[in-house]
Amino acid sequence: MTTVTKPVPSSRVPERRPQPSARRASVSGWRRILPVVLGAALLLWILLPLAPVLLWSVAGQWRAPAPLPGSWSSQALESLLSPEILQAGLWSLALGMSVAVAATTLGALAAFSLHRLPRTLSRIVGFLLLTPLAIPPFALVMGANVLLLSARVPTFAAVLIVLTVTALPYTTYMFSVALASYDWRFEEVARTLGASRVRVIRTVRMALLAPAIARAGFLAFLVGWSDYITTVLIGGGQFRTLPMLLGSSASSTGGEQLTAALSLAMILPPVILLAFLARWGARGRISP
Amino acid sequence: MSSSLTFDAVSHRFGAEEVLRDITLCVPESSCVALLGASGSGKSTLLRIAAGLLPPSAGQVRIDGEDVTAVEAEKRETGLVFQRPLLFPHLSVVDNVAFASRMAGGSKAESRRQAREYLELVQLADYAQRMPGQLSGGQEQRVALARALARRPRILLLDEPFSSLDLGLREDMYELLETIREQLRPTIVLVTHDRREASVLADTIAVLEHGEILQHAPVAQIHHQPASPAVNRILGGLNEVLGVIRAGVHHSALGRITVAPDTPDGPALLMPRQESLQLTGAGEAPARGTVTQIRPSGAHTLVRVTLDAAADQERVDVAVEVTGTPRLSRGDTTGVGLRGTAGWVVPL
Ligand SMILES: Nc1ncnc2c1ncn2[C@@H]1O[C@H](COP(=O)(O)OP(=O)(O)OP(=O)(O)O)[C@@H](O)[C@H]1O
Ligand SMILES: [Mg+2]
Repeated sequence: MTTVTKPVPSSRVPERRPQPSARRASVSGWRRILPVVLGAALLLWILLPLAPVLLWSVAGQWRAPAPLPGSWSSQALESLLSPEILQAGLWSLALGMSVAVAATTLGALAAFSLHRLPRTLSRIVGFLLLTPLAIPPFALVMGANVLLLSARVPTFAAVLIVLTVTALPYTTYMFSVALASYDWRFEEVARTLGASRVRVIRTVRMALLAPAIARAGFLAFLVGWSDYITTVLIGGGQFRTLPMLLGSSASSTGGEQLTAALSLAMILPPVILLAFLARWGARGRISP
Repeated sequence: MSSSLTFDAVSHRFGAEEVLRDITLCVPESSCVALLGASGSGKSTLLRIAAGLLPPSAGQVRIDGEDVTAVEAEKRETGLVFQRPLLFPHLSVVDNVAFASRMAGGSKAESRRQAREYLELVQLADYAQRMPGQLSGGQEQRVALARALARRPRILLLDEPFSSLDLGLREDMYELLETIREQLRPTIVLVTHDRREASVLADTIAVLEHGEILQHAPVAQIHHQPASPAVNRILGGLNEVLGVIRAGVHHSALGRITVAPDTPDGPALLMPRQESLQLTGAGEAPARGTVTQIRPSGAHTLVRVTLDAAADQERVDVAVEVTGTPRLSRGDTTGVGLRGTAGWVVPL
């Protein structure tokens, strides 16, 4: 007997669904669960230390073995609105934003110059640019202090200069990474479409490098916003920033409530900034 | 909107490397010239010089006879499309196409209105609001074309614009370019390393090798009358038959073939294209040989034949393109003849 295989009309070809074996199912199950578990662990890792801070900031009294404060108070949070602390917040903000602007601009320029150098030279200079990270901050600041004092640079400017130098490796690195995958032909196309060299920088280059600008700016902001050593040593107490208040509050006995409240005041602005940048990115203005 | 483009003795060197040597080439108004050459032959460099993105080391670029060598890219009124679409990722499709008009100072509304007309032309009007990442590769390239056309360029420069598209899409793009040529009549320089693409799209082909133009001629002519063996090979010609010219006749293992009457006597290469040769019965043919290879490629078959040579002649292999599948196998004897009467030779 011969078997005749009939051609099956293509529309009626039954879909072949592979029957997943139990083992494969469990592997793919893990694939799905693992990122969630890791993500949750990471979130805990970040948020857990925040819990006592949050609790302390609204605590009245909290004795050692007790899991929760014995009484509650909003006094510490209210004291954040005192003129001294608000003033310090403004100084920190000013420092953070100035460092962000200065270090981002200089970092972009440095990265562009590096990009133009021959490769080996560019590697060497790029490495040298990272060295401030390896020098202990004290040594860097002491050295800079002598120089800046003798040049009679105003205090805020002196702090700004040192912090900008500190932030520069980060911002330069951010831009170098972005430039490595940057396609210059975007700019060539824009030129042939009638954009002058100057206009290309604004309409194309800055738009395409927006993610790098945001990242570099954020890092540089953090350097200025959270600095302690430079402001203390070079500023010499002429202006008091949030980290300085936080430092003196943390080193005095008692007053954990204020320390906790100040910590929250330190954390919140960068988080808001980050959320803003993320939203900006999600709207499609920044493509990854 | 179209103009003529002329390269006049253009040379370019990157450091010590001479990339373009004394290029003289004329692209008449509304015509399409294909620059055909291997990778690294300097095609893109020549195009960038035409666009004003790179100043040549020597020579002049002229548009409508006017020297534009010193004119900046943004003022030169050329449109440029690369292999990658390079759509600005932060702008929507319609704003990409409106870019040139915006740069020229047009209002947002007016620029977008114009942009839509060009999107219409490339059949993507429905995609105006999308972001570039939401299009397919072929659609992105059509937007890139619309964006360049919206500049109303005097010269349209295309640098391998279709080479990253699959075959079907490429055919669609050829159709589109045809439509664009009919409607807007732009002057086009098309860079490609695909000789079929060059033949389909261009009026004339300029063959570039090692920074020099070997020949610039109409499509049919450059195929059948290549100026040198190199041009013949670049255009896919497989045959070079060494022989001797005597009184306007080429004598070789392929027999006696009449050539142009003013051809000087002496050794010469006959270059019949594989499409111009035919297989005949072994008896009647002036040349005979043994089949050494049969390579089918769809509707055609390429048959390689080693010709029987007289004692004083070189051994010669020729390739013959046959329609369909010939009833032959390796080792068979076959006749080979030239379709038509006259052959094309290059004296040695
Ligand atoms: N900016 C540059 N600096 C130095 N050399 C360059 C530069 N651009 C191109 N070259 C060299 O010039 C030669 C020609 O390059 P070009 O890009 O014009 O070739 P092409 O014909 O377009 O090649 P392909 O088909 O691969 O695109 C190459 O040898 C290349 O290495
Ligand atoms: Mg190229």
